[in-house]
Amino acid sequence: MKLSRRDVLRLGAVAGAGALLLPKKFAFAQSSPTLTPFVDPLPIPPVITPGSSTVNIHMTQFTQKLHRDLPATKLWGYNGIYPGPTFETRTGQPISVQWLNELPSRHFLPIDHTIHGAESTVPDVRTVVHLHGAKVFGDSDGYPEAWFTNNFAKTGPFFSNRVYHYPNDQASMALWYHDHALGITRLNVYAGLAGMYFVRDHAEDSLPIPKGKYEVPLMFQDRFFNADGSLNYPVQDPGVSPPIPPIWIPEFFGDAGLVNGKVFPFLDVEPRKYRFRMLNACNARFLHLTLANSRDANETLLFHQIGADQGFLPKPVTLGDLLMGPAERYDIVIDFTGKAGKSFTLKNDAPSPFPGGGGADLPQLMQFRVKLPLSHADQPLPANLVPVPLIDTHDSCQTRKLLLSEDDDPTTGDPIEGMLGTVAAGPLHWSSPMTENPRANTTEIWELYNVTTDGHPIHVHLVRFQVLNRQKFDLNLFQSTGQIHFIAPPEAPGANERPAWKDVVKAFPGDPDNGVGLVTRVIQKFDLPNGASAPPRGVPPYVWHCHILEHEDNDMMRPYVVLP
Amino acid sequence: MPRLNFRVVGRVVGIVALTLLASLPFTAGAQEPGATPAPSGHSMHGSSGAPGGHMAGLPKAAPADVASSEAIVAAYYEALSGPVGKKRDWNRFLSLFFPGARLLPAEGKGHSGTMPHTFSPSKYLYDTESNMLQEGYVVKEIAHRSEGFGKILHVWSTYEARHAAADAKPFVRGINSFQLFNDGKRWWIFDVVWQPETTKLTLPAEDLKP
Repeated sequence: MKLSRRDVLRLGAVAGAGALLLPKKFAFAQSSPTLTPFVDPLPIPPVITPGSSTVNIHMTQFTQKLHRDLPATKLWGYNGIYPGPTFETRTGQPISVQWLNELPSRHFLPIDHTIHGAESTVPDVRTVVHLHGAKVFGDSDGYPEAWFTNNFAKTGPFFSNRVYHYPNDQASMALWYHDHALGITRLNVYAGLAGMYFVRDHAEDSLPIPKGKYEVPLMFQDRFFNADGSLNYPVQDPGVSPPIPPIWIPEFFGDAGLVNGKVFPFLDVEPRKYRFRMLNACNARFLHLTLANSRDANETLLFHQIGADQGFLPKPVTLGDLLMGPAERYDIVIDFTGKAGKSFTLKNDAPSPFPGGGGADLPQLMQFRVKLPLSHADQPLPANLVPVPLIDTHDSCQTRKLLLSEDDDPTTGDPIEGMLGTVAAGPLHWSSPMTENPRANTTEIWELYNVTTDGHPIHVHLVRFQVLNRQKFDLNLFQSTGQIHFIAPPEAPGANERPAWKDVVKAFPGDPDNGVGLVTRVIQKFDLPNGASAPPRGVPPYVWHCHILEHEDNDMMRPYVVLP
Repeated sequence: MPRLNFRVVGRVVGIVALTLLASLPFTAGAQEPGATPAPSGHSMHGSSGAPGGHMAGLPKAAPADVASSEAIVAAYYEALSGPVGKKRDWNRFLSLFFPGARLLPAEGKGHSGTMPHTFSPSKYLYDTESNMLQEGYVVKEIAHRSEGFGKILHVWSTYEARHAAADAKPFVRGINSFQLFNDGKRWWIFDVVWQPETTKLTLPAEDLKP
């Protein structure tokens, strides 16, 4: 018999007991120490270029200075640094990585043992690495229950192999790797387990775009700090007793913005174009970015977007602002030509949660100072980049109507868990039988019906997809009858969403207060690595999930299988 | 603040337009995938024990439920109340509310951790029924006061909820504040705001007197 959370609490089996003894840092009633912005230079993570032999990457605990005025912070990271090293790989050149858990046996962040997969019966510290956006077989995808502990002493039920194989059967793009262990992903990533991974190809080589030192990765994250420099991940406020779940919070929003692991850093640049490989690696925060003169907000710089999650756009798209959902990557060129002597602040005004607001604000992230002399001649951006052929909707052999929902507490109305499901079956749990089972090399349309108040960045493992459109439907009618009735024509995606290859789509909410839901449609072909017609026998399935880490940890994730 | 250039925020801003749109049924053409006709008579989640309604069209209230202020409040509790596994009577629940009615759990913190969610009646039942099915939610009124004038009535209703009727103690108590409206034909619930007891807030004795 499956125990409900309340059963667990009643029985006192909550190893949460351990967690409940932690000092209470209630959600949202806190702030970081005042940290002067722009006093630390932007760090650039070291590069690792794997060859033909297996690369060992060690997950360890260490301390690292994250701001001039903060004592060193205890972190977990890959190869002893946060963020982890940036992988440089080439299309068609496979690599093998052995991810080694060398972490302590106790977690230093608050685990909620009532969350599925994080029960007190499993080890507190377990890891599994997902290379986000990678076209891999399931045994190298970091299935959330394929976790392993220090020295592989214990392994999850889906663990099969120590060495992961990345075929790099993909075009040039920015991927990223991060932990994906069931029920504690939000904590492991918060602790520092994330890094970037670039795939390069000849098409990229031939483009006259900024390269070398003029190409800069930017990994955005937000955190709360204690005065002693330690990370502060809040827990639930037990105002109404007992809060269910007792520890988990619906979404994390910190007030300290980190870029490449440094709080509010600066970057000195030359008066020329730079290419920034932007990644929103926040747990839950959407970012709405603008770039303005630090002394004159009326002077702004434009973003020239040349790529999305899964590679180049066909043409640069010029934007005054960017809206990045968690886990999205934006390949951006910024032109500082003619701006010598000026500084520009990267600002954010996205409501958190998105779009409802109410959470901690994060009004700025970093500063660019145009103070270096021009050392290399600049070139204009090419008018055309890499073709992105549109997938023909007629190629779709199936349209799946999928549900983005949540389960709320009747007393407080607060989220107990996020849920995915199907329109026909309703909300389903992680443990419910799989409902998505596309065949290899076939094309499907997935419709994501959002009935919540939140925007959800939905990520589908294995595949790249294209955004088709969004459309409003009658939410009250759907919730009371299950009927889908559209109340407006489909809306075309933005110019930087289509044509584009994506692996995360912002599934916006409609306007639930006024009875409006919103469906987001994507089309995707379930290609396996190197043209395989079937996954190897016995490998774990894939998953699709909300990339708000608090959501994916708490049931807003579903397994799916690719059939031969 | 720079203007947000993405469509969804414009949507949030354009509530009035949305409301108008929502009132105009749109028949999507075949130009886009997914623009399929709505299934008719679909009973959502009915076989899975998951949340969802059985309502077809606008629910009509049982006359007895809306004949008096006491009756409509009693019907509210009865429609929400039930042991583990009991699907809620969506028709009865929704039939009690005036169009556009709102529900506000005052102690909620929502996704932001700072502000409670507000709900339409259908969204509240949709979002919470799964929990009520799984945990049981047997709620009843234990005290009742009201003040009114003409067509309006304010009901101050003390409630307690148990997971099962046989539980010795309720797991939560609180106040439901109902704003009621009478159109001359029946009573309607215009909104419900409720405040549960918390670790720092206990019901005063006067609100516990039947």
